[in-house]
Order: sequence, then structure tokens, then C-alpha cells
Amino acid sequence: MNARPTPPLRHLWHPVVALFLLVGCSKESVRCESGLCPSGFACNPDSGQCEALTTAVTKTSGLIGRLSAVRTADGQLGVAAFSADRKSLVWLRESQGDWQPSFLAGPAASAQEAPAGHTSAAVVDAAGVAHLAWRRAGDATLWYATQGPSGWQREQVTVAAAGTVGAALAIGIWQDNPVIAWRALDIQNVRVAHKVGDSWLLETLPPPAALPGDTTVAVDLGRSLALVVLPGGPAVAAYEATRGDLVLAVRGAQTWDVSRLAGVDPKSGADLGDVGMPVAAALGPASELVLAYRDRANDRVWLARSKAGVLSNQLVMDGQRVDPVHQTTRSDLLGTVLAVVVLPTGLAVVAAQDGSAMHVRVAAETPAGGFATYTVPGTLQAWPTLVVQPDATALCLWLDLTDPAAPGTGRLQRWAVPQGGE
Amino acid sequence: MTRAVLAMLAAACALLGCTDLPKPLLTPLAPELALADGLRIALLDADLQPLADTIRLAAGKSVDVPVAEWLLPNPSDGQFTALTVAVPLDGLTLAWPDAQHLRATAQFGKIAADPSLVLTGEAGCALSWDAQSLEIATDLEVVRDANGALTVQAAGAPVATWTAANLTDASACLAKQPAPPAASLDAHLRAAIAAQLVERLHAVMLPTLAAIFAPSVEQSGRVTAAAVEARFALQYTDDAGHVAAHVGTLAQANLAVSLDVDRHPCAVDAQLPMTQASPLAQRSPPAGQAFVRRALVLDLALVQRLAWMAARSGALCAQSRTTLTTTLVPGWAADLLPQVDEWIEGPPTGARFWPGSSPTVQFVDTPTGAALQWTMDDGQLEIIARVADTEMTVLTVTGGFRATLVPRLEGAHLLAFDLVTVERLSTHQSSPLLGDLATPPSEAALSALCEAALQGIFAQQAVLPLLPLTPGPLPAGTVLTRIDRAGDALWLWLEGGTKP
Repeated sequence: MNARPTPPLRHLWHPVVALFLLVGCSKESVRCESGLCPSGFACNPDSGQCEALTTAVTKTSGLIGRLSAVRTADGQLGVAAFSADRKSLVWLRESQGDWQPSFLAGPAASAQEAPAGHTSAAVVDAAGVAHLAWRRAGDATLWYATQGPSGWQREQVTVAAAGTVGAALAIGIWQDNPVIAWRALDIQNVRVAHKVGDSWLLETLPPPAALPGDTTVAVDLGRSLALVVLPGGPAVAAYEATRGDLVLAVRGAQTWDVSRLAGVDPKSGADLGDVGMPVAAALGPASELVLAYRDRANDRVWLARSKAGVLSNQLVMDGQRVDPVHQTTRSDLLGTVLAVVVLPTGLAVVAAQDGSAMHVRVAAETPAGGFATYTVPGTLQAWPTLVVQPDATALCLWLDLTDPAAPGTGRLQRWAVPQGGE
Repeated sequence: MTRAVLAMLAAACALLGCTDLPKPLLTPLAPELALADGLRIALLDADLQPLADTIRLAAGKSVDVPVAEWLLPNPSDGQFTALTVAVPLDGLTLAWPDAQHLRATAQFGKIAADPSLVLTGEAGCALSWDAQSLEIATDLEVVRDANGALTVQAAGAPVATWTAANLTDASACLAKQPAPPAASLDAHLRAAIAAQLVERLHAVMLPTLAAIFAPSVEQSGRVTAAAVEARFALQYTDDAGHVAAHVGTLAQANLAVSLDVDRHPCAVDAQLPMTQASPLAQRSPPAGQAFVRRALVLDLALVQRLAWMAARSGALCAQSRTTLTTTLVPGWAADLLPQVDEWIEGPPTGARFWPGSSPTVQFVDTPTGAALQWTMDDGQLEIIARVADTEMTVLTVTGGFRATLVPRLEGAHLLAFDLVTVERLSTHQSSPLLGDLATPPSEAALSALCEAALQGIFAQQAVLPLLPLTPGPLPAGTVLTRIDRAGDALWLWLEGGTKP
């Protein structure tokens, strides 16, 4: 990170910096910003220059799939990712501007272990300790690890029977202990396990209440899911594939209250579209629930916010775009990956994958109530996630897929989401 | 129901009729939108005799003719009692004596009756009456009524020709009467029997012919879904009120079809094709005798406008995605995207198509019969798949596409078009996930993928109207039995559905 570009490369990045000036990366100076440097370079905030990622390149490249980012007790970033070339779950910990990888599962962690960690989730507890959950695809098992004083301690969550864990899971902290939700393939529903002492207590979400006139019995829940912990208990937002609805399950004192939030008219039961695949969740400063979800039929991203018991929906992004050549409107696969955070101000930030153009788009809620939208500079971007920075802004992390030597896999990049809109 | 389907439904309604669905037009469609003779109904001379045979069977080989009681000139003298006469219908022929009239000539065999005269205060007298044969010729014409609806009606008075009609009065009963009614009785019987027979023939023939020449009532309307409104109007072309006219070896009723539709934002703003319909070629009927066979003839110019309408309404692009029809073999991506094959999960989850031009269509012959060739010079096909648990566009095929669609009878009453082959015309392949493809994908794999994707797109969207042969104005029982092509016209052969 600290090394200067070697002379042969120097001529490459000067024009790039000049280009950034043109596209408005910095309006007041030539200083770079995180995420605006070309492939193989990262912004040094001190020098204001893009500098070669001499060490980070090898550590954060070759990744594929969803990222899960948290900020740990020391204020540094931690990112759970899947290393495509090592076929292993890797924990990338930011340390003095560099990334320190730790392989937690898969062949890179243990030569005898099968590939693992393609699907993972991370959360930090009140003490800033990271907790991870992941799936081992080969035997469809669920695993958990946390950072202890002597390093990572991992275990299999055996209440999730082998062969039943699907490729959607989420983790939270409830009553100071981890709580994991995952799609259970055997019942096509969501199971939730809460660790109490050394044991995991297993629960299964009940089906949502029947709709007026609905004779459909089958419920297919959890192809996408998100989890946050409200003051009263966990809340799981999940996609119900039979009807294409977004379902919210909130844990009360003893039971779950499950209802369809979107995609259906609760009064008439009329189908209102295919929404909730995927869904992301965050908790606001007043413990309000915030969900970002995709409207699959219309390529739109919506934000649902539960405030004072009232649920409101707001359009965040629209995949429609004009084709200037043919003077037509096309629709991009917007929101195939979603991330949402709520800043201490209560304003939400949503990151969405454009699965057609392979761009990451970010929408930051403005105090006026709308959203300022950005396309993260660069090309071939995938699997965005968000994390709140110590300065109360949002940081977007994603994978840059431009490395021709590793097609389809990417290098971890980041970009500070501007405040107030552009 | 998608707006594209509704738009096509409007077109289907325009062609073959719908009930209740369309709303009235707010303003009449512009005259320049009308395609004269876009749709025709054709009845070949070669099919007239089977049609006549069918009518004869429907009328009955032996017709029971009731003759009402008939009072003598002085009613107080007495009356002939009512009787029923069995009349054998030996044959029926149909022919066009001129361009506008269809003449039905019925041949009846020997007719015999035993009229009974009841005289006041006396015993009745028994008579016998017979005729060697009877021929009735009645002319029919297909016209529009005051409301524009098609009607089949008699033209002029029927002509009855009797052979050797004879009244026998063996007991000379009639001779005893003050005014012997023999002559008037004979005339009365002839008139009564002929009138009844004409009525019977008309009762069978008029609905049958109306069913043939009226696949749709004249109508207009609009169908709206979301932002797209389709409008249509259908009007018979007539010759001084006559709708059906005989030319050469066939009779035809011609309809002008007006189509218009709002543009869906995903569709290019192409102008309505202004090609005019071609004259209807004379042709032979299909092999084999069929009862009540006639044809709906779609001119290529109409199909071009329907294709324009389909494209403009967003039929190919308004849907956010369509499912591929074929389940590709596992590892399908290995030949197409080997760089990321390892991370692609399962078959493609969908496809999208963005037309860059309005289609051009033409009829072609294939080994399996007539087909429609649908060419899109400029389009982009996107293949969507799951990569590492995330939906992405993994492959984009840009360029021209030519689809061959084969008309098919779906069930007994629907005409569907199946996409059977796709030809790529100078396409370029890329992957948003990978940028430009370093290794060109396998041609065979690419063709299979494009075919499966476009099949799904064409199947899910009604890109041409599915012709609802029933329910609607066509009588129940009508069946589409054959589809073939003659020049720039597609002939849909219909049979049956003639029961009054």
C-alpha cells in the first residue's frame, strides 16, 4: 500500500487521475478518493494519490460471491468473503491500510476440508467481536465461528441437520449470543438457531397467515433472507417464492408473528408482483426496521421502513434506462444483490448490483426524504456490501472483476459514499 | 394478463370476434390505417357440392310438410282437413349463377297425399293427389343489414317446378259440389308444399351460409392494459351491399382490417407497414372431401401489420424476463463461458430480448408445411443465470435474428405459432460479467441457447394473435383442420360448425 508505482506504471495512472478530474471525483483538488483508483491501485488518503496495491492484490483478489463486512472493536474493517481460487472462506481484516487474510474454512484452512464459505454472513456484538456463519456446500452443513482471545473458534451448528442448509443465511446477536437464520432445504422454510450457553435452540418459522381467498397451501420461504435483532427479539425478512412476496417474521416473547409485507394486497389477497428476492435488512438508531428489497418484475429497489409501528415503502432505484441508439427504454437487472445500512442520522444507504451492466449503484437517502443515487466509478463490479464508517458515513465495498487473469472473480474495492448527494 | 397479450387479444378480436372485452373506440381509426382485403373468407366451388350434401342431410332426406286445413270458397259448405305430406329430398345443388347470388336447387321425389274433404252435414270424400317430382330453386345473397351485421337472405321469389301433379277423385266427390274446387285444391297443395319446403331449406341454409361468411361481426374497439392501448376495426368490403362475391372458382368475402397500438417504451418507434394486400389467387381445395369446408385467408400484409403491432406493443420486451423453454444439459455453460462455468449454478434463469427494429415477416414453406419467417435485423438477447448465488446477465448476443414460426392448432380451437428454429445473422457475443469473450463460444451451444431463449420469449408472449375460433361468432364445432400457404396468403381451412 505504501509503495510508489514503479516507473513503467507511472505513465498509466497520471491519465487516470486526470480522468477522475473530468468525471468529478474531486471537485476541489486532485486528491483521490477511496474506490476511485484503477485496478491494482488504491487511494492513499494521506498522500491523496492512487498507489499500487502491492500486497493487497494477492490478498483480496480471486474472490467471488457475496461479501459481508463489519467494523470490529478496534475500528477496523472485517470482511467475510469466498476465495474462488482457494475455495475457502476468508476473513479479511483491515490492518494499517492493508488486509490480513485468515482462512476460516475450506481447503485453505484445513487441507482435508471440502470447499466451504461460498455463503457466509458476519456480525459484530456489542463488544465489537466478530461472529461468522457459513455454509459448507458439499454436505449442506451450517458452521459458526467467533473471534476469541486465542483466535477463531469454530463449530458446526449441528441442530441444522446435514444436507438441509440452503444457500441463504444471516446472523445477528440476540441477548449477547449469536442467532442464525437459514433456509432449510428439507422443509423449504426458514429455521432459526439461537445459541444459549453451549447449546443451540432451534426454531422454525410458522407460515404467514393465510390470505383472503387463498387456497395455496405450500409456502416456499427463505431463498433470500435477512436478519436483524429488534429490542424484542430477532426479525427475519425472507422471500416467499410461491407467491413472490416479502415476508417478515418477528419474534415475540415466545412465538413468531409472520406476515406478508409486500407483493400482495393484505386485504384482498391480490397479487401485486414478485418482490423480496433478494432482501437486505438494517436497524436504525431508534431500533426501527429498515428493509431493502427488489421488485423482480419491474427491476426496482424499494425501501420499507417500520417506524412507530407504521410501515412505509419508498422507491429507491429504478432499473429503467433509455437506449439512446434506438430511442427505447430498457430495463436492467437491478438489485440482484442488495445491502442496506442506516446511518446514525437515521438516513438509509442502499447498494444494489446492476446485474445487466455489472455496475454497483448506491442510493443515499437525503434529509429531504428522497435518494441521491450514484454509480460507483469503474467497470465490472459485483457483490456490493455496505458498512457504516466511524465518521457516520457509509462505505461501499465490492469486487472489481476486471482482472483478466482471473475472469469472473474479483478484487475487493471500496468507495466512500458521498453525503448529501451529487 | 400482460399488455402484450391484451394487445394481441385485441387483434384476435378484430379478426375473429370477442364478446364484451373491447371498449368502444373513442374516435374512429384513421382511414389510412385500414388494410383492404387483409382478411378474406373463401368458399371454393369445389366444396359447394359437399356443402349442399350437408345442407340436405340437415334438412332431412324426407321432409314432412304440414298443410293446414283449407276452407271451401263458401266456408259453410265444408273444408279440407289438415294433413302432412312426406316429401323426399332427393338432391340439392349449389351454384353461383352470377357474382352475387348463390342458387340452391333442391330436387324432390314423388309426393303423394290423401286430402280429405269434409262437407257440412254429409260424409267426407276421399281424394288422392300426387306429383312425380318437384324442383325448387332459390337464390340467396350475403348482405349487410342496416346495422352493418352480415345477413344471408333470399333474393327474389323461389321458383318451384312441378312434374306431373295430379289430383284423383275416384268417387267423383268433388264433382258433386256446386263449385268444384279441384283446380284450386291442386294449386293450394302445390303452393303450400312448396312454401313449406322453401322455408325448411332456408332454415338450414341461411344459418349455414351465415356461419361460413361471418367469422366475425363487423366491430371496432380498444383494449387497454397499463399504458398500452390497442385499437382495431373490422369492416366488410361490399359490392353494392353484397358481401360475398363469386370470382373465378371461388366466392369470397373481404374484410378491411384497421390496427393501431400505443408504443411500449421498450419497442422501437417504427412506422406501420403500408404494404397492400395481394389479389386472392385461385386455388384448389385440399385433397379429400370435407363437409362445410371454407378458408380464412390471412394476407401477408395483414400478418406484417400484426407483427408490427406485436412488436410495438412490447410483446417481445415488456416482460421482465421469460423462461427458456428447453432445459439445457448440465454444464451448458462450459461451452459458452468456460471461464466462469464453475460458478454458474443450474440452467439459465431467464432471458430478455431488446428489439432494435420492427420485425419483417414473410411466409415460407418448410418440410412440415407453411411457416412464418420473423426477422429482426437488430436485437439484443440477454441470458440470465445465477453466478455465485446472484442473478446476472452472463451472455449478451447482439445482432440479427431470424425465427421460423410454424402455425399449429392448439387444442381444437386455437391457432398458435411455435418457434422452431432461430438463425443468427451476424451476431456478436459478449459477457457483461467477463467483458469481451477471449474464446468465442461454441456455435452449436450458442445456437441451442438462443433457440431456447427465443422460444421462451415467443411462447410466453402472444406475438401473433391466437385466433379464438370459439367461443365467438363462429358456431360451436368449427375446427381448424389445415393450414397452408398460397403465395402471400395463409389459408386456414375450417370445417364443421354448421348446425343451425
